[in-house]
Amino acid sequence: MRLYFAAPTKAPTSLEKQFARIVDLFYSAGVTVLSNRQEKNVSDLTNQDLEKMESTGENMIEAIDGIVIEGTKFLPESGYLIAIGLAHKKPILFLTQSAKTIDKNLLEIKKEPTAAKLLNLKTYTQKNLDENLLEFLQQIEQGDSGEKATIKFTLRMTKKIERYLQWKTHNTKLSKADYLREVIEKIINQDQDFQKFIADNS
Amino acid sequence: MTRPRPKVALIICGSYPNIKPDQIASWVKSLSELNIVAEVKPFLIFQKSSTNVESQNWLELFQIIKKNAGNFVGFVVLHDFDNIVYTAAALSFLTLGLNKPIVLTSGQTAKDQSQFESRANLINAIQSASVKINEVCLMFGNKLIRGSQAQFSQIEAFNKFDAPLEAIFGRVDFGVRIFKKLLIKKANGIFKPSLNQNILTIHLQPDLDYQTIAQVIDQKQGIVINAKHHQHLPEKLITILTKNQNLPVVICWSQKNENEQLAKIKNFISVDQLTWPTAVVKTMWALAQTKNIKKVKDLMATNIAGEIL
Repeated sequence: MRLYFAAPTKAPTSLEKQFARIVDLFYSAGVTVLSNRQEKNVSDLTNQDLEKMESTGENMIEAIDGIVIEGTKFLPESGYLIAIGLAHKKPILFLTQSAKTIDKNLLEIKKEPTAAKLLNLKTYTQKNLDENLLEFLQQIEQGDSGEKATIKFTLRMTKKIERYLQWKTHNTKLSKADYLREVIEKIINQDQDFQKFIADNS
Repeated sequence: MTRPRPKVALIICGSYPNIKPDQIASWVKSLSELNIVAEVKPFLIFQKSSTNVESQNWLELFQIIKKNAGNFVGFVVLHDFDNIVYTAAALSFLTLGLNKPIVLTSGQTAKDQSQFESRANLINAIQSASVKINEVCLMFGNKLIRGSQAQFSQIEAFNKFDAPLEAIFGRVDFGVRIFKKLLIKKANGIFKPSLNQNILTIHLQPDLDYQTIAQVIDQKQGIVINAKHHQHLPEKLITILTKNQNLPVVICWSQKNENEQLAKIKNFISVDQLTWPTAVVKTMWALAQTKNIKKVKDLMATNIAGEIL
């Protein structure tokens, strides 16, 4: 999963700590984070991906699964990010430490059914920050497209593995990719450390 | 709390949205994403396919922009693909001195592309119109392109138009990034925001209808010839066009034409660094500034609005 995290590039130390905590939690949950606070926003995107986007005109927003904005301190580009995120049907988490800092226009847009589903406006405390973040990850995973295999990446196999996959799926209705997805699902369900991590933070 | 949003005018000059004029204000209000980015006020020029656009419409567009320049930080023109580069070129010359961003985009989508494309183009255009740039530009896909240098892209992509690298002065990633060093300073001078509509355009091809051309040119105040795929002009055409030495003839080549014979003809003006739509519109604009062929020649050679490729 790939998320875009936006927050002011300059903020008081207490807020900076929160930003770091948000990014750390995502990393520890296995999420790739792109951010306006990083020098390069390309993260795990390959040069080939970037060149393709460049030539086709595809928006970078298409390459991510959700947007997280820390809006306690005003971030000028937050309105644009929310607008373009909604246009591309991406889930958005807008975090703030005080409800007072939420723009009334955002509250207004929440009245629309589609936007209400995608836009999460949350006030958070030290105690419930992790919970809010993990809830958001689950929302993305369980969302309309979350259960469809839509994420593509290149995985190079050895001849031996390829021969095994061929043997395993031969004369079955499963494709090699289906079989691999099933195996990974099993591993996720049986991984006690990962299940504990999810349970502890929800 | 409510934060102040930049005020942007949205001028409709095409078939999108296909709704009654009295429903436009509520349509804009319903585009809730837009309203987070800016306070958008709609204006209507016309609601038909922009294949029907005429220079009169460009003048109306200019009048709306001029009249409202003080009330908005920028202007977005919603146009169909047809003629959009002509409209962009016209606005580039007409709005000289207004110092406002004018961003053209389309509500049309290609058949194989999803519906969000037009909404995304519109949001990106509104965002670009909120930035302090003195440019007339096109916003499609992930590029902000100088309008007077834009050309239709043959590649099936979100980027419907392309231009030389120096004319792509904005990119969309997780925001609209403007490359300020690529913004140009426009020509100084007091120019009339006017266009001479009385021109004839000729596209070179075998078997041109010379008889009709000969009959018509007497009523015209300028000729623009598309010689983009040629190196010479047909002799018959040269004969007709040199009869009236006071008739400006702009010849649009794809590269510098070294033909000495043509260079000696007083009323011939060769241009090689303009797109065809810009050559046509710039000729209309130049002929509205002056009738003097030498001055027209000077204007055509000068980079007035960043149009020189």
